[in-house]
Order: sequence, then C-alpha cells, then structure tokens
Amino acid sequence: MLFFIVFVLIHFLGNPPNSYLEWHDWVSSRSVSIAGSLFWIALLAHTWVGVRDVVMDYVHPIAVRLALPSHT
Amino acid sequence: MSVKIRRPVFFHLTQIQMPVGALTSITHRVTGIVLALGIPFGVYLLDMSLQSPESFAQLRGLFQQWPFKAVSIIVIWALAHHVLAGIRHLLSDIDIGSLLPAARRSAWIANIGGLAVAALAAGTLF
Repeated sequence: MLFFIVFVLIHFLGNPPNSYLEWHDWVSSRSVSIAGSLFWIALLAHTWVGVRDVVMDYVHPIAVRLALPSHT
Repeated sequence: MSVKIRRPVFFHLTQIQMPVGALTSITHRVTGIVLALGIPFGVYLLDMSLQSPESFAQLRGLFQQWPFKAVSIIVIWALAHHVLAGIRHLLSDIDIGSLLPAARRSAWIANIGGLAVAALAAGTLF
C-alpha cells in the first residue's frame, strides 16, 4: 500500500491530472487498475484487522462486539 | 473474566503525563480509526472524479474551498502519522529500535514527521 501511495504521489508530482480524460485514462490503464485493485483489497483487509484489534481492546460485552460491523 | 480485580484507576487527564512512545502509539490507533472512517468518503470522491467530466470539474471546485482543504490536511496528517508509526512498529517487531533511547527517538520522528508532512500539504494546498 505504501509503495502504491508513493507511486501515485510521484505520478502527481510529474504530471498532475489536469483534465478529466487524462485522469480517466491513467486510472483505467492496465497497470494502474491492477495495482489500484490490489491496493483497495489490502486497504480493506488492513482496516478490518486494525478495527478488530481496537474493538477487542475496548469493547468487552460479547453482544456489543458481535453487533459491531467488524466481527471478532 | 469472572474474577473482578480492582485495578487502580487514575483519570485526572490533566495530570497524566504520557511518555512520547505512548503518545505515538495511541495516535497510531486514533489515526487508524479516523482513516477507516474516511474510506467511504474517499471511495465516493474517487468515484466522483471518474464518473464524468462534469463531476470531475465539480470536485475540483469543491477542493478550492477552505473547509475541504482543511479536512484533507487532517486526513493527510493522519495518514502520514499512521504510516510512520506503523513502520516504527514493524521495525520493533524485528527488534530494531526496541531499546528505550532508540524507541523514544523513533517516536519523536513519527510524531514530528507526521506534522511535517501535514505542514508540507498545507503549504501546497493553501
């Protein structure tokens, strides 16, 4: 994820997307869309683990835990 | 869990002095939650930027306004701090910087580095 963020930032520094078409073409190019999909999958997995850790530390009643969106 | 232990409780928030490592650690948690809450908004904005030329222009207009810039700076700070503190945690997992002086130093680096990135973002946006 970090590499993807740095890659996007460097791309923005080099040629910032000034028009819709430019931006749309870049995002839908094969390499960027594959990397982007991997990024979102990794981001959601990381969010799940992270939020679950926090919930396990602070929310003790089992019923409340199960009701929260990140099942523990 | 059934045995209730009376633990000492000290909630005088103005008198609690956290060591810098604790500050980095708790901020890592808080920024993590902030970023998690921000994901739906991020997806919405990304979708808006890609839907049509009109929505792209609309989004650009939104980010000319200062409240949007201010919120983005907070999110950028949260991300920068979370990344730096996360790297610090990973390094200490493989026993790099686990001794107190090094741990303190890296905690300061994470806290100040996050603010530095936010300042850089503020300088670019405003």
